[in-house]
Amino acid sequence: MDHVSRDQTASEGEAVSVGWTWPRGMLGLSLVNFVLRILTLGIYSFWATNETRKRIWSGIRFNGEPLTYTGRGLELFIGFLLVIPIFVAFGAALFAINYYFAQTPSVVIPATIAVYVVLFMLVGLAVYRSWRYRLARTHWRGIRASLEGNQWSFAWTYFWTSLLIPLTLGWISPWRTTKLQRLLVSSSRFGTRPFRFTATSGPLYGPFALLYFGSIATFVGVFGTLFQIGMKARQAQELGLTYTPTPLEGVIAVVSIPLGFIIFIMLGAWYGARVVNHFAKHTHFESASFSANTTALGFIWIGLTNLILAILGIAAVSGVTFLAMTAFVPLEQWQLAINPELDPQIRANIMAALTTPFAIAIALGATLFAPIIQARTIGYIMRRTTLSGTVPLNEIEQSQGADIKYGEGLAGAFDVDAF
Amino acid sequence: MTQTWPGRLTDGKTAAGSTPVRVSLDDRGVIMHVGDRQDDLVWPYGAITSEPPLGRGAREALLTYRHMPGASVFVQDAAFVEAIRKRAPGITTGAQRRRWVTPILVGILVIALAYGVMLAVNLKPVRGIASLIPETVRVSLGAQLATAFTTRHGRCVSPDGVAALNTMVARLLEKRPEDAKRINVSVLDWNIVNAFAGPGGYIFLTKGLILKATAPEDVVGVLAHEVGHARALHPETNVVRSLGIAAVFDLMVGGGGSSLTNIATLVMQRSYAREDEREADRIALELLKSASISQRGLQRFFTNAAKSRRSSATAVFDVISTHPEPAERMRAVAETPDYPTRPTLSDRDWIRLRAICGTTSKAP
Repeated sequence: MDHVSRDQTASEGEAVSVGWTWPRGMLGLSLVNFVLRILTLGIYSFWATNETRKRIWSGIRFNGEPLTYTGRGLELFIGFLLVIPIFVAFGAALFAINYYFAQTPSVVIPATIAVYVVLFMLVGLAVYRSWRYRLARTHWRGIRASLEGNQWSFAWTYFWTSLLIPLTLGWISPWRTTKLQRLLVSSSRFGTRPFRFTATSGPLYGPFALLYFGSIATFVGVFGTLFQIGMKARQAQELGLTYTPTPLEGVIAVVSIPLGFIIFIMLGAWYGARVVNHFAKHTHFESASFSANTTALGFIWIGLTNLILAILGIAAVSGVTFLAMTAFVPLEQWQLAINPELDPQIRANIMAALTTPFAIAIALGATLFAPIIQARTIGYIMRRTTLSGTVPLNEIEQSQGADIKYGEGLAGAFDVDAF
Repeated sequence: MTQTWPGRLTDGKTAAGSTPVRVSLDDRGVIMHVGDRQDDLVWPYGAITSEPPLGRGAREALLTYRHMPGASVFVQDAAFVEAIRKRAPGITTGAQRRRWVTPILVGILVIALAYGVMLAVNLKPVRGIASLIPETVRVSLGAQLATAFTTRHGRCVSPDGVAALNTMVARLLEKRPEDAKRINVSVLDWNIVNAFAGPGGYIFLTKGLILKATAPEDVVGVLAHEVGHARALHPETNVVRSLGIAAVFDLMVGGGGSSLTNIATLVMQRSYAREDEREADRIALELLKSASISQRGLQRFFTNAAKSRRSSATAVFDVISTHPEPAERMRAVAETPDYPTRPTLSDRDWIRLRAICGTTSKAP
C-alpha cells in the first residue's frame, strides 16, 4: 500500500513556486568587502565573493524556502593557488620554444600558436568547472545540485565553435549558445534527478537576424549620414567656401552616434531577453517547465541603473584618491608632468606615475557596489521566472556523486566569472 | 515561559516538504519540538552554521547542523535572529569575517615584519632570486633593453669614438678580466646627463654625460660606478623587485613590449637603495684604484651634477639625483686618500670619445 501511495505521489508531484527576496544588508556588505579587500591587499576577495554568493543565493526562493550556498572562501583561494602552476607551465613552454628555437621561425610560430590554442581550450574548461563548483555548493532543502557531464567534451565544443564565430561572420552564435547551454543544463542534476533542455536554435535565428542586420543598418545609417555631412563640408572647403551646417545637420551630427549606440543597446537587450526566455521555456525538471518573461526594457533598466551604481562607486573612490593625492603629492610633481623641458618619455612616465592611482581607483570603484549590482541582475531574472507543472519532491534524494574539493581558480584566471 | 518561534525542518534526505517545528533557544542550544514527538531535537550552538551568516538586521535564519548533514531549520522571524545572534555569536557575519580576515592580516603583518628584519640585518633575498636568473637570460634581457634604447634614441657609433670608449673600458677593467668579458658599454645619442646599468652587464652612457664631463676621469668615474651596479646585480635585483618575476618571465619568452618599456623606465628612473649606491661607489673606488685612475673625476662629476641639480628642474632625473644623498657620497669619495695614478685616455682619444656621436645608428 505504501508503495502504491508513493507512486501516486510521484506521478502527481507538487507544484513549486519560484521567488526572489531581496537579501538584506547588501550595501553594508559592499562597503565591508571593499574595505577588507584593500586592507588585505586583495586576498580577501575570495571570501568577499563567497559571502556575496551566500547572500544572493539566499534571496532565491522555491516554495518560499531559500537556496543555500555552502561554498567557502578558502576553497576559492585554494582554487586560485592551484591554477598558478598551470599558467607557469604555459609560460615555461613559451619560454622554452622562444629560447631554444629562437632562430627557427618555422618551429617558433606553429609551436607558439599550439600553446595558445591549448590555453584557449582551457577557457571552456574554466566555464564548465565554474558551473560545476557552484552547482555542487548549491542546496535546497539540504539536497545538493551537481553537474555530471564531461568537462573535456564541453571544453572542446566551446573551443571549436568559438573558432567558427569569425568564419561564419557570427551566424553560428545562436546555434553555439544553444548547444553550450544544452551541454550544461542537460548535465545538471538536482539531487538524483536531471534537468532537461529541449531548446533548438531555430527560433533564435529570427531575432538574431534582426539584431545582426539592425546593427549593420544602424552602423551604416549613423556613419553614412555623418560621412555625407563631412563630404558636403569638404566639397565646400575645396571650393573655398565656408560651410555652415543646417540646424538639422547639426542635430544629426550631435545625436547620431549616441542614438546609434542606444539603438544597438536596445537591440542587444531585446535579443538577450529573447534568449533568456527561450532557454527558460525549454528547461524542464521532472514534469515541471520553467518560463521567463524578461524584456528588453527590463534588461536596459537594470543595466542602466547598474551602470549608474558603478559610476557612483568610481566617483566615490576616485574622489577619495584625488583628496589623498593632492594632500601627499607636492604641486611641483604635478607641474613636472607638463614641463616641456623634460624628455617626453620621462614626462609620460611621470604622468603615468601620477595617473596610476586613479586607474586603480577606477578599477576598484567600479566593483564597490558589485554585490548590489549582481543581486539586482539575478533578482530581475528570478522575479520574471516561473516554474509550472509538478515535481515529485519526495523522490528527489541526495546525490551520491563525488563532491568537488576546490573552487574555480581557472574561471577567475580567465575572467569568465559572471558573479 | 520559554519563547518559541515557528520554523520548518528539513531532513536533507529528500526534497519533500519540510516539517513545521516550534523552535526555542536555551543553554543547550537550538531546541526543536517536532509535532507530537516526545523528545526534542537539540542542536548545540557550537555545531550549527547559518547560511548565510547572520548580519545585523537579518529577519530570517537558515541553520544547519554539523552532525546531521543536509538537515536544516528555517525560521523567518527577526526576534529569533536577534536572540540566536546573542546565543551563538560564531554564526554572525562579523565572526565569520574575523575568522579569515584576522589570519590574513596577521600573515601580511608577519611578512612585512620579516621583510623589515631582512632589511635590518642586510639580507637580500631579492638579489638571491635575481642571481638565479641564468647569465644567458640576463644578457638576453640586457640586449633587448639595448635594442629598445637604440631604437628610441640612437646609438653613437663613430668608429674612432667607439675605439676610444673601448680603450677606456679596457683601461678601467685591466685588472678585472672577468668583468671585462661581461661588461658591454655603449653611448646613446641623448642629451640628458645620465648613465644606466642594465641587466647582463649592459651599461649605457649618454651623449649629454660625455659632453658635460670636463675630463676622461669624470666619465670613467661614472662608468666605474655603473660597473659596480652591474657587478652587484643591482639592475637584475631592481627588475625582480619592482616588476616581479612575471615581467622577467614575460621578457624571457620574447614578448613583453610593455615589460620592456617598464624596464627601460625603471633602469632610467629607479632610485637604487641607499646601500646599493654605497656598494656601487665602493666597487667604483676599488676599480679606479686597481686601475690607477684618479677618483677625483668621480668626485668632480658629483660636484658638477649636484650644482646642475640645484639649478635646473630637469636635472632631477639625471644620474646623481636618482641616487640619494649625493652630498654624503661626494664627501665619501673626497675623503679617500690619493694614490699613484695614470691617465685614463690620451688627449687624442678623449677628443675622439667626445665626438663619438658624430655617427649614430638606430639599428639594434
